This record gives sequence, C-alpha cells and structure tokens, in this order.
Amino acid sequence: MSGPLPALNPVDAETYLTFQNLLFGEARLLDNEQYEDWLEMLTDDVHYYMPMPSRYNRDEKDSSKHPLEANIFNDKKKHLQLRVDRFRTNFVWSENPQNQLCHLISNIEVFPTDLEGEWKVLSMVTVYRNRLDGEERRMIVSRTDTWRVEGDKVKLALRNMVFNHAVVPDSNLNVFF
Amino acid sequence: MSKLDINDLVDNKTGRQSRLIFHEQQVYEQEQEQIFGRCWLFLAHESQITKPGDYFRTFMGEDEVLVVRQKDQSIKAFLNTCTHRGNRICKADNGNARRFVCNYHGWSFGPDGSLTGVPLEEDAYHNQLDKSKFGLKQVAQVSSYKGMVFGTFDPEAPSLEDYLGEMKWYLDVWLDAMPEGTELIGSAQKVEYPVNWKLPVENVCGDGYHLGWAHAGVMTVASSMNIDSLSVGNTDIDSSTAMSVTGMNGHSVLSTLDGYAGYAFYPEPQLAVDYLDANRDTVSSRLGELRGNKFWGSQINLTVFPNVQMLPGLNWFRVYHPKGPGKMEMWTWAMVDKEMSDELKQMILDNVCRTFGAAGMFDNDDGDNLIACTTQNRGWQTRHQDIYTNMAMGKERSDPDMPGIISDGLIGEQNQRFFYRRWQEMMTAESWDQVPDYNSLEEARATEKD
Repeated sequence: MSGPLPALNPVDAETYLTFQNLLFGEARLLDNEQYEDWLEMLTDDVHYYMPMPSRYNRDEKDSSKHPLEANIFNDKKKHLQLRVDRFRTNFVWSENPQNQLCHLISNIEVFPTDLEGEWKVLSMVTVYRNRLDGEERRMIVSRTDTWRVEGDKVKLALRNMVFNHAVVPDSNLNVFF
Repeated sequence: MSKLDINDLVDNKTGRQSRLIFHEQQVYEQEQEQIFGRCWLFLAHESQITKPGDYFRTFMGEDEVLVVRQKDQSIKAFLNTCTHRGNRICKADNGNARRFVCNYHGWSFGPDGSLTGVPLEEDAYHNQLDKSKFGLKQVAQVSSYKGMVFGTFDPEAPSLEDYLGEMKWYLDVWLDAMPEGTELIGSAQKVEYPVNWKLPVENVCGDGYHLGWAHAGVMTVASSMNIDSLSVGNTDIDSSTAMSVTGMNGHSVLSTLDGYAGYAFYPEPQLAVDYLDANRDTVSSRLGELRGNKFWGSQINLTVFPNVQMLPGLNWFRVYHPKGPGKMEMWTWAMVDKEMSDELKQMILDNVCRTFGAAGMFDNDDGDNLIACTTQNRGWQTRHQDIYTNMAMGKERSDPDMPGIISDGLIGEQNQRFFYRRWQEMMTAESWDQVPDYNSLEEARATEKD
C-alpha cells in the first residue's frame, strides 16, 4: 500500500491484537532490560532510525538540509548489538543502580502492505524514566514500523522514529524506543 | 551576599578551584559580562548559511542571536529581539528569509537588521518614529577563520586571528588539511543538562584521565585500534605517544601522535583509514610532515576558549551554551572534509550518533558525572570545599617545532589548569589591555599571576 494511510486501519481484530501483543511484549522486554530477547524480535536486516528534529518556518525550506542526514539513531542490527554489549560490560555507571524504566505504548494502528506477510504498524511510545534521586524524565516518540513474517515469527524490520523534542531532555539516551 | 573575589576562587600555582565558580549566580552573571560579552564566540559554519538571507539562530552566552548571510556574501549577526517591546523575532532554528517579522506587532527587519516596516507608521505613529534608530542590535565584530564564523559583542576585542593566536597551527590540522576545507552536516543535536558550562569544556579540553574509566564500557566494545596512551580501566599507559598542549591564550589541544587513532572508536574504520592513506601526502605538502604525519588522523581534541570543541576523526564539533549556573545546552554537529566521499561522510555521520550526541555511547557516560559535579554544590559545606587539577604540575615543556606548552601523554590536567587560568584572567581584566597574551612556556610564566 502506498500513498497516505486511510483514517481507519482496515485489519481484522485478530491481526490487530497480534500486533498489540507484539508491541506490549516488546515494551516489557525493554523495561526488564532483556535486550538479547529484544534483539531476537528484530530481523537481521533491521533498520532502526531516528532523524534529528529541526524546526523551521512553514513557508521556508530547511536551509540546513544537506543531502546527508544527521540522526540520533541510524543503526543496523550489529550496531544495536554493540549498544547492548556496552550495557553488558557492567561498566556503564549511569545504569547502576538500575533506573526505573517504563515504555507506555499507545495509538497502535495496523495496516496491510502490498507485500504478503508484511504490515505497517504505527504506534507511540512514552518512555518514562525515574533516575538518581527520583529525577523524572518523559520522552515521546512516534514510531512507524514495518513488521514482517520470518519463519514462524513476525519480526521488526524497520522502525522509523520521530523524536518529539527540539532539545533532548535527559543526560543520556541509554534506552531503546 | 558580598561580592566574591575572583582572585581567590582559582589558584593556578596549586591547580585549585573553589567550587563556588560552578554554583554562584553572581559568578555566572560576571561570566556573561566578562567572558561571553567579550570573547570571540562561535556563531555558525559558513556551510550552514551559503545563500543571501540564509540564517541560523544561536546563542552568545545567554543572548540569542541571528546569524545572517548578506547580499554581498558578508555575514552579520544581531540580537534576536525586537527593538519595540522586546519580543523574540525568529523562532525557527534556521531558514532563508527576506525579512524577519515580529509576531507581536508586525515590525519587520531586513536581513541586515535594519527596521524596514512598521504597521500603521503613519496612522498611529504619525510618522514620528525614526526607523533608523530602531534597527536590531548588531554583534560588534563578526569574522571567519577557515569556514568557522565567530562573533564578539566587544568592539575593543582583538582580531579573531590574534584571539586564536598560535592555536591556528593546530586548528589547521582539521580546518586547512584538505584543499576544500570542512562542512557541517545537518542540524545540531541539542541536549539540555543540569551542568555548569565549564565542566564539559574541562572534560574534553584535557581530561584524558576519565576516558579509560568513565567510558570503559563503550571503549571495551567500540575500540578497533589500540591507543598506547589509553587503557580500559586506566591500568597502564605509554605517555610518549600523545600530548596535551595549551598556553595559547587559553585554547588547548589533546592529541595522540599516531596519525590514525581519530578513527579508533569506529568499529569498522577501514574506509577512513583508506582516506587517510590516500590523502596524507596532500596534507603533508600543505601543513608539513609533522602535522601531516603525527597530527592529521590522530585522536585530537581542539578547544577554543571559552566554549567550542572540535574532534577531527570522531568528526564532531560542539558548542556549550550556558543557561544559568546550573544548566547548559550542548549542541553537537558532524563536521567532515568536503572532499570525503558520500559513503565516508555517511559512515562518519552514523558513528557520530553512536559515539557523541544525544544517543552517543560516550556522551551518555559523561552526563551523570558532570551533573553531579554541578548539583552536589547545592550543599553549603560541599561548595565551600576546593577541588584541584594538580596532576603532573611542573612537568610542562616546550618544543622547538610546535607552539604552546606541552605535557606528555593524554592523561594530564595541564589544559584544565590553563582553561581556569584564562577564565580567571578574563573575569578579572577590566579591559583587553589587562588580558595577558601568551603562546609559549616563557610567556606563560612571565605573565602568571602571583
């Protein structure tokens, strides 16, 4: 399916519930720092992508536009693995003591694509962190995913993220969205 | 509270700083006036504003400014505030504008900052308004050094070239290595920290000590080359293979001398290594063998006082904007050589976001340390304690082939000492005549405060 998405998602309830469960399950793995299990939910060619927000006037073009884009994340699976490996060294002092982490998932919409066994899934994640002496941070990211059947599983092949903050409001993004 | 004596807050001879300098509002206000109001501050890279009307919105200290390319290709900068009632004129990060129109009453200003339009000028102002007196307040001096645009609010400040002094010799290792120079890519990664602005400058200008410890996790997983002058866990080092350089009017350099380690924190650096090998002769012919072989391609931290840092190799460029004594915004861009292939530029961009920037694994290690160094000062007892950068004092030397004052190794505190020395000199000088000029060990010693 190409072009703008319709207002209502046309998938049946069973398909919708399948993806809702996938996204909720994924959120639980991330909250519990089960990063290896999370990586298993991704296709080997996954693209995990979050461009930099830039605020320019509606009637002007983005003059900072360069043919190459600056991103917050532009990771393939091996790079996500690298980030996980860093956590596992136990040398990441900012994650010790363990921080409270909640991925709140909402606004889930599921659309079929032109390809058999592939869906476009929209969702929003509010990442709530409570760190140090109770300092609270909340970050909201809009996600446009492609999920694809691989073997007997449905896996995440693309996550295109919009970071809804002009200035990052936390001292680290030691999290996945 | 009585006025603090800046002379007592920093002692260069012992490497001491009072923690009050990271906390007190009155010190901060004095910094805004004496440092951010007088020093040359980074405004933009020329590549960000190439066409007439291109603008970039940024900060000089806490003052918000618009940097605008003019019709004659010169660059002007002015305060982003309407001269009528003080509203902010431009809210976009960047763009291209024929005029800037204030949202409050519709006053409009040309790209040169002149007031060009006032609604109801005749019916309401009765043509009594002298528009020539209400242009935007200009930044007193704007000048470029090899693509980097700087500005100062102080009409009496020395020229940018004089301000940079001998630091230019080291800046050229990035800015003038390749014939076409450098460009910034994309928009800035902006991160807000509850951190005093001096602490991240200190962290990058000379503190190689924290690398093997604070960044042990990422160094374990992301290192693709050995750097003899660093080790995970700070177990053992070879100080002969790197150096810190300062003096130079408060600017500083921290560098390996191997010609490759700038790309040590790329998991797969081959494309960059090939680029270095293919162009090293070109660079040596432009900058000489010493800079071409030992510095170009090395892990180098370049710091221009007070708040600009550039790391060729890791290829990022950064400015720290103060937002009060306990807060700052860190803006990071990827900067590349224009001659690099798109494939290499993309690899660099991707590595910048994995190492430095909002989700950068190195930056994500630094945040909490710098925050705590700031916020612990809320304690009265705590902030009345002194802290020290006194490692390897008296081990400084000169080198006939290189400018500045040199200490061997990546691990040292000489650069931090000179950062705070310059801070104190700017904070206490009433005019530029009183700001000492030094670029060598002898000059630095001769001008040192008792």
